[in-house]
Order: sequence, then structure tokens, then C-alpha cells
Amino acid sequence: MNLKKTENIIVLGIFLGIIGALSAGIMAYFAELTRKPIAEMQMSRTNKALKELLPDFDNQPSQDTITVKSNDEQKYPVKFYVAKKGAKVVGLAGEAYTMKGYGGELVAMAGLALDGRIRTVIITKQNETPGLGTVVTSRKYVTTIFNILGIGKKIDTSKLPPNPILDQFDGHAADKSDSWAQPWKVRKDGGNVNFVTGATVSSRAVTEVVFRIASTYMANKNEILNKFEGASTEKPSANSSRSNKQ
Amino acid sequence: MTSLSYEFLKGFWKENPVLVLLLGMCPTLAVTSSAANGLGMGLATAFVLVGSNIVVSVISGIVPKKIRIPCYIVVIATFVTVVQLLMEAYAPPSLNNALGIFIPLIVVNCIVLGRAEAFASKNGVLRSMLDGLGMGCGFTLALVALGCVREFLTGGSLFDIKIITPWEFDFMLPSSAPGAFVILGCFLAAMNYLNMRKAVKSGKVYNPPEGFDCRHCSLCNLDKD
Repeated sequence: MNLKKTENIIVLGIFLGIIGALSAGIMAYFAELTRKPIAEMQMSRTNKALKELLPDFDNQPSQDTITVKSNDEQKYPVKFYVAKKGAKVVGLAGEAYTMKGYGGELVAMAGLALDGRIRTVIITKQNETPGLGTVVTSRKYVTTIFNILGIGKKIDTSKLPPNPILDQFDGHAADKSDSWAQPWKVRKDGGNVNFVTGATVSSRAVTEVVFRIASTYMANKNEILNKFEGASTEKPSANSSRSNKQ
Repeated sequence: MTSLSYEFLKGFWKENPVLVLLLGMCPTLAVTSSAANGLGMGLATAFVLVGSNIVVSVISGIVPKKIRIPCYIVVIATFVTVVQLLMEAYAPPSLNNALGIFIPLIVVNCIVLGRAEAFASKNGVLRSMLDGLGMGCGFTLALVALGCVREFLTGGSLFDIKIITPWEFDFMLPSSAPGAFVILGCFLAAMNYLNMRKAVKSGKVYNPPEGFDCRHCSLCNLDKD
């Protein structure tokens, strides 16, 4: 029987099946091989973001987490990473998402002081239009040819690159004493937040998601802090496993 | 029979997949907004090309003619999945984010299936490997060249390094899809002009190469086999 010219549908089916099985085996092998490095990569990305958002800590904020429902109609989950020094909580980072970005999902992380004041905002995942929406969401060092050659101004890598839209949230909290009216809105909608012309949707989405983090923290402040304040180093990991069920 | 070095070198200029064959326009136009993205996409495609060309040339002797296309696609898809997993694990996160959705789409990139069907299935392993390598390098070079021009026109920078420091606000056109078409058009015009001048110098008439468009691929004639 000439395999190359066969038209027997059963032979053809078996042949295709064998090819498929072989490639499935190869893919499974590589999936297994890369599982650990991929997990480590994601872990290091979260840890890097947390380091930028939180003050000095000596616990593992990526382990000490609590997820609460957001303080609005959508009831999106908001995840808080807690930074501790000794047994004392020194700061938090909230992570929340919105689907109202121009490219759909937009995930932000905000560092919070204990009184709910925002320290820093970064966008960890976005799908905005390059050049328009990304003006709102990206923090990027501008490396110039002079930096490479070692002349001219040095880049201060200890600080986050500035972004005028994200930086304006710094120092604001979602309580009544704050100078911004709640809920936070961009100026176009009658609020206090500056926005980028041409990227209003992205600006709105960022404002919404940052306000979600800030207001959810204010509403659940006691619950979050009670959970971690004064707990010994072993206890939080038990807490986090409970909160991760959500 | 052409020489081995020709099989490797033809991908760079004479049969460049982007600038002459005009294959794989989707990744070409979509990811070349910066030079680094073009380089990443080009290398990923080159890896898939070499791997699938080798495997296809090995199995082409036993694959039944009726189902060769599905078999080749399965081979290509396997390589693409492997590339995707490896990139997720080891590539820099910013590159992985930028290329994200375009890596799985290498499966349907015409260059890969085109080379498998038009070259690898009719040639030996060594020739197919060299062809894949040459085509992959040519693709990478074309993407990097396009990416460099687009990135420079957008914000005066190359590989994320600002060359012209006072250039503060980015241009939108070169970094978006319409600008990509315009710049690709300029590239093709320049390429044709150079080829034509070369032909005139040696006393010949330049015709765009025959058989380099979609006619070289027998996908449309499947029922006639």
C-alpha cells in the first residue's frame, strides 16, 4: 500500500491522529518544562511592582493579601497586599481592575498609606491605544543617547518615572475631608481629575479604578487592618490562604 | 540545482518574504511600531520557520497527499506553542506584553505554511533548514528596518533610546497602522527602484519576479491534485 497516495479515509484519519498525538506530547513536555519559570516570572513582576508601591517592609506582601468586594454597584474584587515591619502594618497596595478601558481590561495598583492616602499609582495591565491611551497609563524612563554615552543628566532609577495623570492622585484619599468630591471624576464630567485630550476614555477608566481602590480601602479599613495588625509572622499566611478562596 | 549558499542568501534580498513575496503582512504591519518589537517577532518567526521546515522536509516522504496541509499546520502550531511558552518564561515582560496576541498568530502566517508547502516538502533537510534560516533572517531584517524607521519617525528614538533629545511629543501617524502602510510602500518602491537600476545597468529589462506571489502556492489547486 502506498501511504503517500492513499485515499482510504481510515488510514488518513489514523495518520492525522498520530501526528496530533505526537505534537500534543511535545507541547505537554514544554508546558511542564516552562511551568515553573512562568510562575516565577509572574511572581517577580508582582514583587517588583510591590517594591515600588510600598514603604520598607520585612514580610512578604505577595503572601499577606486580602480580597474584598469593591464599595460600589459592580462589586469587583479588590486585592490588598499588606506590608509590615515587625508586627506593625506600615502600608498597603490595592489592586483592582475595570473593563471600561479603551482596550477593555485595565488593571491598576495603588500604594496606600494607613489613613487611605494614595502614595503612588501604577498600571500593571492595559490594552490602550499606543501613543494616545498609553500616555495616560505608562510610566517609562526616557533613555537618551546622552545617557548611554555617560554625559548629560543621570536618570534617577530609585524613583518611578513621572506621569502627570497618574501622579495627580498622590496624597488624595477617598474621604469627605479631601479636596476632591466623591466619586472622583475627570474634569470633562465635572470632577477634579485632569485628563488627556483624545484619551478621555482611558483617563476615565484610570480614575474609576483608582477611586475603586481608595474607596474600598476606606470602607473596609478596620476589617483589613484588624486582620493583619499585631498578628505574628505565621498567622498571616493562614489568613491569606483563607482570603485567596475568593 | 542551485547552490546551498543561494538557498540561504535568497531570503535576504532576492526573495525577501516581506519586501518581495509580500507575505505575512499582519505581523509586519502590526508589531513593527518599535524596532525591539520587530526584532522579537522576527526571531520568533525565524525559529518556527526553521523548525517547521526541518520537520516538514523529514515527514513529507510519508505524509499522504490528501491531508498534507492539516499535517503541516499541526507541526507549525506545535512549534508556535513551544515558542509562546518559552517567551512567557524567559523573554522580558515588556516584549512579551507587546507581542502577546501576535505570537499565536504565527500559525497562520503565510510565510511559514508557504515555505513548508512550496519548498520544504520538495527539498531535503539541509536545504530546507537553510531556506528557513535565510527566510527567517530576511523577515527579521525587514521587520527591524521597518521598526527602526517607524520608531524614529514617531519619537526620534531607536530601540527605546532617544536619539533626538528635544523631540518631546510623539507623532501618531508612523506608529499606527496607516503609517505602517505608507512606510512599507516607500520600502517597496525603493526596493523596486534599486532592482530596476541594477537591471538597466546590466542591459536587461526588470520585471517583478514571476512566481513569487501567491501563485507559487498550490493551496488554491487542492482539488486538482
